[in-house]
Amino acid sequence: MLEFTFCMIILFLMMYGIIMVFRWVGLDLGQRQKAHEALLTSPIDPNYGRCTTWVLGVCTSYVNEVTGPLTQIDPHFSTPAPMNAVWSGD
Amino acid sequence: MEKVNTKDKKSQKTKFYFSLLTSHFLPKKAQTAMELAVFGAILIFVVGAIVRQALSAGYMQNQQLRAMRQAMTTSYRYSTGLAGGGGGSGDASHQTASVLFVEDRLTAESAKYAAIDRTPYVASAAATYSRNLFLPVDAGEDFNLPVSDIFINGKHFPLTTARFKRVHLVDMGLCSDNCDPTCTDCSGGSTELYQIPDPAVEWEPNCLEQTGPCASMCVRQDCTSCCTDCSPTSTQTFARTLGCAKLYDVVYNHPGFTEWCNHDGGPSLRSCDPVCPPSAPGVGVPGCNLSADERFDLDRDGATDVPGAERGDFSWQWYLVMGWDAGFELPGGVDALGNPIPNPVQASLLRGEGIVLEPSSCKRNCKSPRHPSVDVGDRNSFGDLDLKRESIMVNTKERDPLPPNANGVDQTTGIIKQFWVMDRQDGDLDLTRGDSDPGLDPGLQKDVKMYSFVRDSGVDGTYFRVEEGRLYAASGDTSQYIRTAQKKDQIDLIERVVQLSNDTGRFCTDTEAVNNDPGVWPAGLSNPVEACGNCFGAGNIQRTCMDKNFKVIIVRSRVADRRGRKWITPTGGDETVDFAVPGVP
Repeated sequence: MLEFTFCMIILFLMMYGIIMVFRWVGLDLGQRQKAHEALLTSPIDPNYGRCTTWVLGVCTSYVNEVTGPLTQIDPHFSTPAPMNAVWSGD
Repeated sequence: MEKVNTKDKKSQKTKFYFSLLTSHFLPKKAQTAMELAVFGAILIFVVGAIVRQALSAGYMQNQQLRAMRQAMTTSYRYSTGLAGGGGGSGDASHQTASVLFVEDRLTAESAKYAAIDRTPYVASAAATYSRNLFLPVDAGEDFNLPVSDIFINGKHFPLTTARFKRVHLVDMGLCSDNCDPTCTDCSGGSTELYQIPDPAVEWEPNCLEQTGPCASMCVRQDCTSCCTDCSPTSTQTFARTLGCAKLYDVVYNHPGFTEWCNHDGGPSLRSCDPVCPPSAPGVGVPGCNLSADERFDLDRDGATDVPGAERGDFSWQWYLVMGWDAGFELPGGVDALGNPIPNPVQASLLRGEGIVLEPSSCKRNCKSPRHPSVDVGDRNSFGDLDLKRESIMVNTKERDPLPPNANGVDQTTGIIKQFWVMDRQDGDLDLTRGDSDPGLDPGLQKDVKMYSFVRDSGVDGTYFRVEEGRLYAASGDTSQYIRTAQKKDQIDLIERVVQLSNDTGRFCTDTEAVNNDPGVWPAGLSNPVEACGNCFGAGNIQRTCMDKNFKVIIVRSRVADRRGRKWITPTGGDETVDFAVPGVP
């Protein structure tokens, strides 16, 4: 009986571990997708690219274009988390 | 006396032997440990597989999302003028940006020197920013040519999918302006025309009939009805037959294409009548075109390819178009009331249809375009050999973009002498290629080779390193005891081949030098090819190289890998291992 109980506890621990691994890998994929969609629909500066200062008919300063849709479609929106398992030092 | 049953005896014997066996080989006390060990090992393997697959899925997802965003960013930046050669108005090169990412990433594994295997991750995406969707593109604006972007391990290969080229159809003009050897009258005022068709073009000598009063144009040579009296009071008329290039358009089997036909003769709607009669001076039927057999001669080799019974279900056929500007009118005059008087000299086609292309400067009363895309020449004569249509650039009708900036249309007859086309089969990559087209499949090839360099020619060299059970102070942290270290310092050289459809000269010049012309590679872009020719020589073996003979770019990605793993045991407060490293005597 004691042996059976011990086995079951270990078994439950292992299954818990596997479930946590599944959860971890799923979260990683889900969170990246969520971050992608959230950024795509994030608000932007509606005045992006517009001229703010005209001097003799020539525009001398603009609202930075980067504050426009470029913020929503940044290709490098997600960077992988650094892992301590990888050693890149000397 | 109790009688012992033979069966019971056998049973007792069996129990005895079994108890001996199990007590010796299968001790009950270890059963739990053994089951846990086996099950645990399987479980750890499963966890490892999950982690490995998760890493792979994570890479793939990241790459797919990045490719999609890169395509959107590229299309946006080029269309709005933040990148490219179109200035503030933007350009049309990335209206629909197509991006292909190829990255060789390390896998999750437990190898001797940490992960060394690489898995290629390939993701592609396309996106359209519609700002310049209808931007008129003129010949010579190379920055507007469509581009497909390939990124191989971070190296950018912008490959064009079309090219501008000049199509020369005929040299022609008035003998009085240029006394060609074929002329008979080169005197001033001569209206004789000379025509020297380009040998690469299919030529129809009896294409166009020009008629008019001899008082307006005194035509005495090469005419079917010539002038003898050219005085202002003359009532004679002249008629002459002129040649023009034979071009081919495609019509589709759809009710919207009224030109479609299945058979010659008969009153049915899908009859090819009128079929053009054999070529002869002055002979033709306005509006006539190819016979059914000629229309279904798909490779234009003189033999029809689609049997009569299948023509009704076939999707396309050829349609004859002549190299004549159907919108051309000789300038006339105006009467006393200012009403236009048409020029009495007229021209009409004896066969096929002409081309209508209004210049982009036309704003009012513009004619609808007709046959803006045609295939030039036949399979055997013209260098194109692709049996696919090219888009005529309308601006070249008025003026050639390159010197001597000649007019593309003859100003006395409307015959087209030359034009520029955007040829979608003549860029770096021909993305229109089908299964029936000859030659190799363009694009990224399947073959991949990977070389790992662990020692170069220098004195330092590189290494695979395994350290285990050794004591030393970690850099900048003397409180740690390093148990195991596995590390490498290597360069993976990954070789891929990109097969090009054409050598456009963008990557390597004719003299086998790397092309760094800023006109081709403006700021922000650089030629990814590092060497031209002799791609397998000692000096170029590690470089991205183009072989012009085979029209291939051998892409060599050099990926440094100095990573590894180490197992660190903290030693703070541990009497057993927390001791100072003895100094070097």
